[in-house]
Amino acid sequence: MSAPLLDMTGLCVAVPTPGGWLTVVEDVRLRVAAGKVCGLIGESGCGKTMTALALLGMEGFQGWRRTGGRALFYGRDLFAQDAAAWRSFRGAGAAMIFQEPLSALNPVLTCGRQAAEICIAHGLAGKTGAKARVLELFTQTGLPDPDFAWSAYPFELSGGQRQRVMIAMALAGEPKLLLADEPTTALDVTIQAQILRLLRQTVDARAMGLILITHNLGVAAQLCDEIVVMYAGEVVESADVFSFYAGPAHPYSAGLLASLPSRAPERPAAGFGGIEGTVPAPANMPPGCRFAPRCPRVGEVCRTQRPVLTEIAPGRFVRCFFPLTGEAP
Amino acid sequence: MRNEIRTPLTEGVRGASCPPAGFQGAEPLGPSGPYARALAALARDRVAMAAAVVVAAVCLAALAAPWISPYDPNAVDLVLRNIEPGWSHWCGTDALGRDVLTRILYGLRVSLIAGILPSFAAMVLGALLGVTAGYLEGAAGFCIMRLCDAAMAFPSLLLAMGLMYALGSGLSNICIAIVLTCWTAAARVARAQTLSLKQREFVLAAKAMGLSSRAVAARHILPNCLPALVVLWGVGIPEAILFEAGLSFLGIGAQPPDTSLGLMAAEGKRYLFSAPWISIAPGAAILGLTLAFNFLGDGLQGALDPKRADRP
Amino acid sequence: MNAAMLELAGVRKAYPGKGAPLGSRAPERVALDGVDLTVNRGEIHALVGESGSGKSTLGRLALRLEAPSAGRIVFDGRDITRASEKELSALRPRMQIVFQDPSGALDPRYSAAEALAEPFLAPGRFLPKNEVKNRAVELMRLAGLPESLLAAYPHQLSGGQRQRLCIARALALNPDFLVLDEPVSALDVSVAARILALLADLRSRLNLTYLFITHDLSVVARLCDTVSVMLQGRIVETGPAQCVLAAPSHPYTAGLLAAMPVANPRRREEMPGGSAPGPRWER
Repeated sequence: MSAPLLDMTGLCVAVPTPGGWLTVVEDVRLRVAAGKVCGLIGESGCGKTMTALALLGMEGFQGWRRTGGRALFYGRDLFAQDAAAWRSFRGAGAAMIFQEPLSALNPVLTCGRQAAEICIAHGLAGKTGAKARVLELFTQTGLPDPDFAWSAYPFELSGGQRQRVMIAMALAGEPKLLLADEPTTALDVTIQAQILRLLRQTVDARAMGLILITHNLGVAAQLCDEIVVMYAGEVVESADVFSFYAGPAHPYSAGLLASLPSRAPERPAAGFGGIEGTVPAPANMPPGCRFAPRCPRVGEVCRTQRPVLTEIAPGRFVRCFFPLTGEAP
Repeated sequence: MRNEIRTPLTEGVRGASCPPAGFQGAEPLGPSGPYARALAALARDRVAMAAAVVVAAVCLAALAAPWISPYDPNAVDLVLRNIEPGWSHWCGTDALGRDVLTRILYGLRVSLIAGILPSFAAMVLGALLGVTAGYLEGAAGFCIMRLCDAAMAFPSLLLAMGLMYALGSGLSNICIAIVLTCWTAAARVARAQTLSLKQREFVLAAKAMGLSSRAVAARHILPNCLPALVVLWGVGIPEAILFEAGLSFLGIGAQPPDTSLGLMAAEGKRYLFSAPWISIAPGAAILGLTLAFNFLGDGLQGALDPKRADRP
Repeated sequence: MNAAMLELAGVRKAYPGKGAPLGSRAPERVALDGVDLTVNRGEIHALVGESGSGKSTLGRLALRLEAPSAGRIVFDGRDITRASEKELSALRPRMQIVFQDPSGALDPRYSAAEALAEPFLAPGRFLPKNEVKNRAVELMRLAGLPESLLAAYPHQLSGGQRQRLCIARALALNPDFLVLDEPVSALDVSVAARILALLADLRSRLNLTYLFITHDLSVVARLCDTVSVMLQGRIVETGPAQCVLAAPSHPYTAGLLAAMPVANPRRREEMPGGSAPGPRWER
């Protein structure tokens, strides 16, 4: 078996606070293979966006710091490279798609110009050849009128078209790994379906890896091959998509699935699901398992000792002392 | 004892990126109302308090000028002209032998009055007109903003000169002239803020509860406009001081023997290389005053921001 | 007692185009183009549509926060289409609204207690101070919030807590009718589920009627009794929720149902898509 596209272990990220550095992401393990989609699922504040930004080495811009971890990209250690190597990695090795295209695109530059910038910066085209390349990319991402998009400003396009422009820009540097941070949350559901299909086709056609960050379990079920669930800065479960949705092992994942209105017919009629309580703040983490205060299966050991990520089945990891086994209740 | 309220890590709201400050839940009845809370928060800001002390001290000194100044500001002594700063004259004397420090103390009165009051009045007038224009829109808003455009288009110095010629010189007329030229900035800022605040859902919610338009404007729009207006005021005070100096220099502001800081600085221009203290001393006083007001304005802006205000 | 809490007949709302009074104007934007809607007493009526369909405008018009360009709005038997502010303010306590973004719906300068006291500042609803405080405590309990949060500011509360505060505030004046404009769209799934449970519980406890605006059909299936589907300013389909969702008669509704991502990876092949953008719906 060849080296996986991305093999990241032990990622830790800390933020500066008046009281010192506070670890907000701890011991994150992520693996992506070529042609596969890995879904990073979690609710707000769990650290999934920060994980993605750490993968791109974006720490300098926002004040937080990566304090540990190793990320092997085709065998090469990303976190050991210097600034110049990072610059060439961003865009050509990995690229990112953001949630809100209207704020991720520069409003005073035309879409064509922004996309061309990336081609030129990575040396894939000269100034003259850039336009042809960009138009080709726009066609590949399904824009109905690439010439119009070339000379249009972001606000002149619809939400779905803007997202296609952003995907085209992400693909401009011919990256091997795509990071998509909630790419369809701001879109209507019909457009969302098209964008998801586009992402799947792109990943298959170019044998790329895709890390899809989302809170939407329906979207993850449609697109992903593997699911990684994060809670309060830690990975709590990692499994392939079929076994995850058939029966999650971690009580938090089970709670999330049970909160979905669409799973209602498969559940007893009583209740809407949901999980009581709130996510603990990084400064106030409970001493044992971080989910213990809210967990329906909590035991004595959960409150005092912190569980580690253990492999309960081939390729299936869970961070829990009492994982759920078998089908969901 | 373990705090019952979990400090939430932006639980629930997607897209939020920084955790809100932890809430202790044990907060007793503090001051109520956004203004009282802002003042309390201001009192906790050490830099702003220091600046406030400086401003207060300067105002007191200016008020007490007749009693604390060492010399008569108008005592001309042609023998002791252009004396360097020393023990008998802390800031030296000017071309007519008058003690510079004494004149600064007296000049502070004019400058402070001409600086603080008109810029405050301009902010209030501009805010009222701007909020009205933004809230009502339509014909009223149109008229107010065209009036604003007209006032801005006219060169401010010419406008002030025209007003002074019409009203006559004198401190109160200087203040009126400054108010009538400086209200436009506050009006534009207030209108822009009002237009954007009108779309915010808490304004709609207040309307849905049945509050009258006036109540909505007073309770929600005005307090949220204040930070921007306060900053404008902080910047406007030194502007007003310098504007008055310009008018005085042109001879239509403070009339000799009354003086202002700006006028002193302007008069000392001729002796800039031979007796620089004549200009530098009042200039330094303007600088110190400007800095103090800027720090105070910064502190006020921070105190008016509810997210920053509750950090000690 | 009227069976219909709210009736809209032929309601049309157009916004004037942007432009100076004396200059050239952009064409007017039609948000609602002839809408007929009936919300019966005690039901949860869902209003489903994508962005630009006009559902939020409809919600605001239902409360007469804006006036319609044409048509009739009847609330509990009373015609409020052309009602003056004074007549409306007598009705306001009975109809309230909860917005999508809880952080935008709360003034950041006021604490929770002050936000809950605000409904009592309107003329004619004045209450003495300690009664207001008691009512605030009661509302917090109703919305599932601990009393200690009364002194908190919106930025100190989590998203779910803020939305509960907005719900508490909407209940302050004992309304009969609540417009909920995408109340859980901005919240995480586990939090949203709790808020939906709260809304269902409040409906039965306080005999409320809801107009539930959403784009999420799965919530409609779980919570709502009736559904109306909106497309570009018109209602294209309406009926009992279970019937419409099981057998939609309008192709747009069918398209929405098909595009909804199902949380089951074994049903992937059913997802529509294609690389070309979908048809722009013609009516």
